[in-house]
Amino acid sequence: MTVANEQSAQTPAIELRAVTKRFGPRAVVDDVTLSIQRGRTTVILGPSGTGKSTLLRLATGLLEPEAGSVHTLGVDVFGAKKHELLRLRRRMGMLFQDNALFGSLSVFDNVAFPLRRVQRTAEPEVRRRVDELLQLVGLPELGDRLPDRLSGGQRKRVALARAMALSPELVLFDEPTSGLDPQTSASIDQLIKDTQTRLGLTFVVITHDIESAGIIADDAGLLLDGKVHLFGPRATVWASQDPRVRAFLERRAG
Amino acid sequence: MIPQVLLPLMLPAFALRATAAILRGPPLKDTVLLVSRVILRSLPVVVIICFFCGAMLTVQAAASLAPFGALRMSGLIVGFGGVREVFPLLAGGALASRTGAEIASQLQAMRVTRQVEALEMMGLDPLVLLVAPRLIACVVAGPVCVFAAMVSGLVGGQVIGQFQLGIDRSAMWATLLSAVGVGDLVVGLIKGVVLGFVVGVVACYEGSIVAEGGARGVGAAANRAVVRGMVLVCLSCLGLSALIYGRFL
Amino acid sequence: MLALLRWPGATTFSFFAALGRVVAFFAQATVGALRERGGLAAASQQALSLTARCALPVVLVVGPIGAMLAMQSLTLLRGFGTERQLAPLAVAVIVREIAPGFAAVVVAMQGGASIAAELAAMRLAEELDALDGMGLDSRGLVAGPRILGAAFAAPILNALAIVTSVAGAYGMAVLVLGVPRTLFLETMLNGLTPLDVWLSEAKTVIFGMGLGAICASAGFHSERTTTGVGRAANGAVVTSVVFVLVCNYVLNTAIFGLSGGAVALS
Repeated sequence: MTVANEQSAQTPAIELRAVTKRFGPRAVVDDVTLSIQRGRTTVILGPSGTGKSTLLRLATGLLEPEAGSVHTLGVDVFGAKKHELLRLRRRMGMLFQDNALFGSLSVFDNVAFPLRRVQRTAEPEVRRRVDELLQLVGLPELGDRLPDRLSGGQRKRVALARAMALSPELVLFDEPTSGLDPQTSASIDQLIKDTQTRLGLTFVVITHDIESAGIIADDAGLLLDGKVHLFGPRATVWASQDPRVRAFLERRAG
Repeated sequence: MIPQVLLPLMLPAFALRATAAILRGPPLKDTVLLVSRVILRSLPVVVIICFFCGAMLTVQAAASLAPFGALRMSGLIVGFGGVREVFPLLAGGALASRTGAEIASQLQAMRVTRQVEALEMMGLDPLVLLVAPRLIACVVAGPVCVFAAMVSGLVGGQVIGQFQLGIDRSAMWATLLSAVGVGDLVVGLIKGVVLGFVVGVVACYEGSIVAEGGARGVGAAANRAVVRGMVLVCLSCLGLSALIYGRFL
Repeated sequence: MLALLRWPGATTFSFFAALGRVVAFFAQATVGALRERGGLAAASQQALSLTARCALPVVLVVGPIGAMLAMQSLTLLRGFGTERQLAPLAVAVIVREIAPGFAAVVVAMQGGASIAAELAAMRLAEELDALDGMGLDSRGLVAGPRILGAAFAAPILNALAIVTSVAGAYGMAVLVLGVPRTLFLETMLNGLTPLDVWLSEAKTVIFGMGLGAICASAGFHSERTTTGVGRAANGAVVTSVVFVLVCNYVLNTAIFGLSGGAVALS
């Protein structure tokens, strides 16, 4: 690790200060202040349509807020120049809800893509690294397949391998278990947990899957109506007696 | 949000940014593949459309000229009007409906399935990686399509003149070519480059902007790319002809 | 070698198979629509919305073409010393060819692509299967009105195309190139008979039905993916533009005489 990185390791992974984002008249993210620590898995929970995905896109600079500031890995996302922002994004990996794999490229080429195009790694090294990554996500045999010939769970694993390709400090997950059957969801949860423990990276997961959050989360937050309703260590959140938190966690209507 | 009044400026602004992206070194392999793909996909359409259009022009010219006993002159009209205006215009139309629609729907599908965001998250610029190679492909394919259009249009006229109207083979060729000069070929080249650029910019723009989401958005992008591409093709054809030929009137 | 021989055969076969499928689809869809209660009303509504969406593109495409036609015809006619023939010649060419041809091309591009994309998106979202599941005729209910709508809209847009194209020619000839205004206006109908106008309108009805059927069929039989929607729209546009131009040639030959006869309608 370089000196600069060690210094910035003191700062939170993602820090939002009084951030507001509107779509039309509706504030999807409403005056949110939030600080996500490094080296842990943080899960942001919340019902669909409460701005969880928007939060991720604000953290990466894919969306711009109307008010407030966002610091990711110590960089001021909306004060940064374009090339600084691009460099920041290379220190992050992102798993999209529908994986966003390149449909015309094989599994191997998908995972190799950031290595070849961003780092311009030499081909033997690309081969070694991709094999290592596919091993990591448990798909060593499927390098030649096209994405649409894979099952949902396998696609998610490829997406994780691709997101990890540039050895990111921070990995963002957008609904990693949505659309998967319970068993596959459980295996993806296990994969996320194992990977985080082994590599000690910062993982931020957006989900409405409470069971999944119970397995992977170190810290948890609940987002309701565009506001952070509660944030803290998982045990604290799970033990909360707040009626809206209980209603969400126990999956009661209301 | 962008104020409504600035919307007409979006396309020129995009054209500038896309042109600048070309200078920033798009991936060579993708560009070569796209150039050949665009040419191979558009050429058959151009050839078929222009062959029948040449044939149609000949029938129409013959019908107009027959009452004056000037049937043999029909080749002249086809050669003159076809090479100067009709064939380049149709080449642009074919390019817009084949390649323009394809590029727009492809890019929009990549946007809807978040592949474009995935590129941005890797710190890559979609403008350099996706738009620039496609724009280059269109600019290269433009003149190729225009020349193919001229040749197949003239052949269409020749076939009809010779077999349907019974005009002597060499006489038909001679009248077809009598109104075509080297200058017209240069104009064809210029038109090809401009039409390719226009079609490419419109298609990439419609493929990149956020309009409707989901599968309907993909179809809508293809739709807008074709229609707006065709409109701009017509306007730039008129503009170029008026600029170039208008001076010699 | 064998592959080389097989290709033309296979292509021809698949062409006729596709043609057969479109014709059958057209028949089922239109008959279904006419049988359906409110089918004609739905078709008129489609026609109206199609006309509204195509009107501006038609004007923008055909206007410049009329101007170009006037400019180049004048150059050509000056060579023969027959400039006085400009207006009748231009108007006749516009009514017989340019207006119906390009009106149909614009309908294919604007309306055809949206018909194909819309039906493909409905296929993807399982809306069509839902209709079938309710025991309804999805062809007659969804595809039929769109095909008939294209057939109704095309002649309306053709009339619009004639007017704008002649206006474009007038603008270029009279306002830019200095042809006398009275000469243009007095002679412009000389090359034309009412029959020409009716034939022009009839042609566009055929174009409209044909391209409507091609595009609706492409959307109806599309793949169930996001890229499938785009592919259906693209394929439909190209096929229907080619259809319009090929069909135009065939109809012209039929109208203006076969085998060298070249009978002018007068």
